[in-house]
Amino acid sequence: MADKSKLYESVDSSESRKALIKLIVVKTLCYLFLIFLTFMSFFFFYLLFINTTRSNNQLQDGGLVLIPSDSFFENLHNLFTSFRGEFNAVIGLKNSLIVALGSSLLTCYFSALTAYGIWAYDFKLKKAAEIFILAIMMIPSQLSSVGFYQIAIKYGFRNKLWLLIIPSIAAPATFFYMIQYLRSTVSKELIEASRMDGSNEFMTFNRIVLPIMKPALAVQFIFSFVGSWNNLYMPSLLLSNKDKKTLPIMINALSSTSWGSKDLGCIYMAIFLSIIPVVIVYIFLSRFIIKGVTAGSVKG
Amino acid sequence: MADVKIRNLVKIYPYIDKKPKKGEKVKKTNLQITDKGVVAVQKFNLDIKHGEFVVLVGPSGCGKSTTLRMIAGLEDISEGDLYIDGKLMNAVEPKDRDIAMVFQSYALYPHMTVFQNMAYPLRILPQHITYKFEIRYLNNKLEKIAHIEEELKEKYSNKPEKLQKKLEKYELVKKEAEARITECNGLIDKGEESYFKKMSKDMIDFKVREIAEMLNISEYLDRKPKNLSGGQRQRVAIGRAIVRNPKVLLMDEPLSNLDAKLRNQMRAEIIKIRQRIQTTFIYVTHDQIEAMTLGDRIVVMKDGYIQQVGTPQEVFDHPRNLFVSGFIGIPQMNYFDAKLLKKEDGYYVDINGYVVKPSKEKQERLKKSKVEEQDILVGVRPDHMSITDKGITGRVNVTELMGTTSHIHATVNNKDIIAIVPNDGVHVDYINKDVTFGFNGNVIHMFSKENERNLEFLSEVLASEFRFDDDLAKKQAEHEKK
Repeated sequence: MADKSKLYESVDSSESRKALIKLIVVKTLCYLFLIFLTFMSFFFFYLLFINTTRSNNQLQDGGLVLIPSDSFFENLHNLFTSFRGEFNAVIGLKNSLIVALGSSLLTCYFSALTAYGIWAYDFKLKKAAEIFILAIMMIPSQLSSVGFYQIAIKYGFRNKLWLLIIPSIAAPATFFYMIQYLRSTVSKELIEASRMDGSNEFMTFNRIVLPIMKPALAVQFIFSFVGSWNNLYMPSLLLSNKDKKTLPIMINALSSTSWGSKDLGCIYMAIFLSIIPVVIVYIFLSRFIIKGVTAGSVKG
Repeated sequence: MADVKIRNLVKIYPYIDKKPKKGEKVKKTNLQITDKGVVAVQKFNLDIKHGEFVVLVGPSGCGKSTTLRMIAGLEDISEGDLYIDGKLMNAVEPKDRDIAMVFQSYALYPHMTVFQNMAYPLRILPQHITYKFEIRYLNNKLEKIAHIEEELKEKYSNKPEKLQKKLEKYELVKKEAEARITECNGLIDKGEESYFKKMSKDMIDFKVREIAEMLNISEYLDRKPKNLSGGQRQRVAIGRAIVRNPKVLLMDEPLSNLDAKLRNQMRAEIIKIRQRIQTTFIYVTHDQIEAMTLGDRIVVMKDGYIQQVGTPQEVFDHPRNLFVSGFIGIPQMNYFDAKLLKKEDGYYVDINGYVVKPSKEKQERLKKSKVEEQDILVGVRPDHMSITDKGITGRVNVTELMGTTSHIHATVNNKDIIAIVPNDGVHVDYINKDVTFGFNGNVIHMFSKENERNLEFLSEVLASEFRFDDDLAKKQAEHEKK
């Protein structure tokens, strides 16, 4: 009995209590910070939603309002009727989807293919090739867009959606991610086993390597999809035809009309509509993201 | 099954990163570093017969894996020729060599189930389908149909018309299968063995299940590799290799990732598999127990050179040089400085005054090689040392009780030696005592101090310099002309 009471005493000692309090304080601070971050990321979505429910007049009066108003359907109606010239949701959505899906699929496949080529084969100037691809990452896209625009004009390629899709084959950042993923997770014996089993090089890539790279592909698909979806710069340079415009161009056109005819409710509604597909893609692929982020670091 | 002929095979890895500048000399720290690059395999010559189990063994970096990878086609051949079944294979793609390989890391496809892993090679390439296999497959099919028919009869027992209609369908399939069986039997009688075709889905299914049963992995066919234990993964890897009846089965240290107990188990398993499938095996290992137990013949390698080729018994009893004698056998052989004396009635070995007369056979071989009196190294395996009155005296440092035997570690003339003595019930404490060890003349191995070769076989051609004097290349050229 005497021994036991001593044991309790040592547990109850002020030192251990201090450590406990310290732990609680640190954890509380950590969680507060995380809650703040979560709040920051959700708050603006909420604000966007609130603004879609407010009429143009309410919005122009200004002020931060957190309670939904009643103009949601009115804004929706206005967007589809009075702004037909600038905004056509169906065409915009279709064009945006074609460009975003096409370019992100190409980006993923060809970056993986390039990464596989450089990782799996030994050839002269292999290192130089890798460094060259990475060096391209340093060049801002605005710089290369000048030349690209000139080519497009010269050969009459304006208003062609594939013009926005094809160049995405070359994506150095995606390539870099893919090659790092390959290096950390795939063993070269797997490639050799596949070769011994009788598959040719493309079969090895398509049937063995691509399925193993699924998590990396999903991550890069989301990134490039969102990037392409939100891209305003290149499309607005190349697309002028009404039927070829993507959503960001249309929203941009809505907000750049003169102040008198501007309907802020409609603009918020258009933005709200445009983020829905991205959210859907994210929901479907997010389980891969967590896998993909961790898979690279820890070998399973 | 096929024979494998390897002629003057050389592998040179040229310098890629640190190319020596002109005029600058490469530091040649060992035999493998040359001006051209690192030579991993040096003039490798070997004939492997149909259905033979050859084990390449040696310390790491000796070129055994490189040799295997050259046979597989995963590594380019720098010089020399490789023939499988009489055909030159130097420039043939791995998939067209009709060989399979089991890798050290298993290399199972992680996204496929065990079944898909094993079916993968069958799905993509046409295979040699033996008529015997097809008959087994068809018989299995007939059994299945009979089973289904019985079920139908029960189900439609009160509707004879419907039953008749249903049974008619199967009747046709049955007739076809039976006709094919008689056809296959006829072809077998004519002496034909197999045909080359892509397998049907049902056939693949049957083949995979057949192999899975043989390897005791039928229960795991639907699992992914990550849900299997090491031993099970190893079985799947072997299954994937043997499912297509390869002419040659290559194994690259297949057991080294397993724990000791499983390794013993799988070793026995491989012997069993070998009895059941007819294939030429080439097996790479650094573990000499695996080499001794599995191989029909062992190829001992070091620094890219072949040291000795022979049956396990031959390599163990008559090691051709100091390296082989030390590498094969656990615990390692003991060595003593000695003098070889030539007297009228034969050769004698004098180890610090302990004189042993080599056995008659050894005497004859020494005489044949015309060995002169000289300083030599004498090797005796620990198992062949016994505690006697007359012999070499040493101080015992440690004794290890192994059960039926004891390992006695002693120091003789500043050299550590080991002797294995049987435990015959009488416990003697040898520690820190002087003990005299003796041995017979038929268990001593005499090595030249000059070139480390076994003096008995001094007149023999070195294994690394052995060349076949056949004209395979000429025959091949003639064959191609035809």
